[in-house]
Amino acid sequence: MKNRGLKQLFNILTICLDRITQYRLANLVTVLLLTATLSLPALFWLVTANLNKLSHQWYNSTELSVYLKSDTKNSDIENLMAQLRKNESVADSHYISPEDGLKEMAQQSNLQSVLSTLPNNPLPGVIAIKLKTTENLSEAAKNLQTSLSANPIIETVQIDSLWLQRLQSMLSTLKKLSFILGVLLIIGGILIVSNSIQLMLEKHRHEIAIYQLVGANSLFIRAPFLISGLFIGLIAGMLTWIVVNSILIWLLPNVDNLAALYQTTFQLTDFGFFEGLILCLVSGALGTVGAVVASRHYG
Amino acid sequence: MIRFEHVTKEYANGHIALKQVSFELKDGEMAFLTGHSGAGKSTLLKIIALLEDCTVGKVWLGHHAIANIHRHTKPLLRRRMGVILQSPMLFLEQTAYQNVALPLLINGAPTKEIPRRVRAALDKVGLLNKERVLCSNLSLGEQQRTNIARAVVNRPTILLADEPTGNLDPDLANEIIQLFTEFNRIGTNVLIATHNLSLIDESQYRVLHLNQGRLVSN
Ligand SMILES: Nc1ncnc2c1ncn2[C@@H]1O[C@H](COP(=O)(O)OP(=O)(O)OP(=O)(O)O)[C@@H](O)[C@H]1O
Ligand SMILES: [Mg+2]
Repeated sequence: MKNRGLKQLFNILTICLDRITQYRLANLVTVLLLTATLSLPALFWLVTANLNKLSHQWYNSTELSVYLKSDTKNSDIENLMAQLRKNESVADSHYISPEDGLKEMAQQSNLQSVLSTLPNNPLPGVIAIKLKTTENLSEAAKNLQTSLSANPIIETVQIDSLWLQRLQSMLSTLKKLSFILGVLLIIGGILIVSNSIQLMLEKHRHEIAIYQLVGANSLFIRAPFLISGLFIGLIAGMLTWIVVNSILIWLLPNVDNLAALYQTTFQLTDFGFFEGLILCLVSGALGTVGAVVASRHYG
Repeated sequence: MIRFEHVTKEYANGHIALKQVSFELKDGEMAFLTGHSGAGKSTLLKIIALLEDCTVGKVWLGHHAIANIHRHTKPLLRRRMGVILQSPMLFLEQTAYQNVALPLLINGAPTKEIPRRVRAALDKVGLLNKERVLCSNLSLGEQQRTNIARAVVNRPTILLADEPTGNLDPDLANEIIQLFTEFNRIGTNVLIATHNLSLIDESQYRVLHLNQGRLVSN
């Protein structure tokens, strides 16, 4: 009995392979449509990943501004400076006196005439601190901020990375958006595959009717279509990988130029082997699901 | 055993093809189904072949009530039937041999047995010399006989034939009916739908007569 089952499986596989090759089910248009559909979220993911990396790189230039109370004695300031120089997380620190601050402000802002009418200097003394580069810089900045806040001569400690925080929150919005986009386009991809498999099923209705007539079961009838769905998905996944990487290679000179302008170097995150593999798996699964959906009423 | 209990069939477009049809075909019985065109003969056969559902009433295949048969069981039951539909259901781009071998392949028959059984079936319908010919190159009558060979190759327990002799000359038609009676002799249920009254007149078998969807004589 077991032998008969194997025999049957073998026969079915032979006919199935034969049917796939003769139907030429791997529909090129479907593959291309699916590739276009998948390229969009893949590119979106890539942009997000690169912005993410860039923002981390920019975090490395984090500075802290320490605002001193207005009646602070010079000796206290020097003590604090000495303390900061000893601190391991501090790369550089320098003191900007209220007078220097006023001068700088006057230079930068064309407000000289207004500033000169002020009865006394409203600016506090400021210590600008540059942190050493570490893995978790924002953490280090926060730690330093809390430890300094306890000092009675310090009014406030400000981390000068508000805009980076804004970028970060923008990025998290972007991540959510790309997730939603991904989900929508995955549904779109399933619909594309299921629609084209449905057309194929329609085209081969007569054959399916014959198979049903002689007692073929549901799996036998559906297998070539399910396998086609899988292949459409896998091929589209590979094509998407190629398309996205081609776009990256095309963009690379621009990114390098841009990075040179900002006097930084930036290594673009690319779509590597691992990402490609995941893409193919997702895409293959998507094609199979599309075929399952399309052929659910058959057999 | 095939039993119809007050079966009514209404197609999706509202046409009622069978009205309150009741009859029983005992195990091993053979019968003819007649009636003018549009009377519902094909519809009745398709219901037995599990290709159409009935709208009202009950149909029994042995101890199975058709309405309760799970869709995964239907293929298994179909493998025990030989079904000849009115329009040839063949793969035209395949040879007669390949077409007849299909039920055996799907049913997982031993490879060694397949050629012998396919040739035996083709021989019974007089097509042994055409086994390598593509079905698209066969005459209509030959296609019909290929269809019949495929229906009997798996030694079915129920044989359903819809106008099996439509394109055959009287001699061949008689031979085919002879073939069906041979199957009936070894216990196969046979139901043949036909217009060909001369076939029926010559036989002693039971006749079910449909008129506009109603069973008028049994
Ligand atoms: N799929 C369908 N949808 C709607 N009406 C149908 C369908 N199939 C058959 N009919 C109608 O049901 C009636 C019975 O059809 P059926 O094919 O059973 O007749 P028949 O007795 O086999 O006729 P014939 O001798 O011409 O083959 C016909 O009037 C036909 O138009
Ligand atoms: Mg008919």
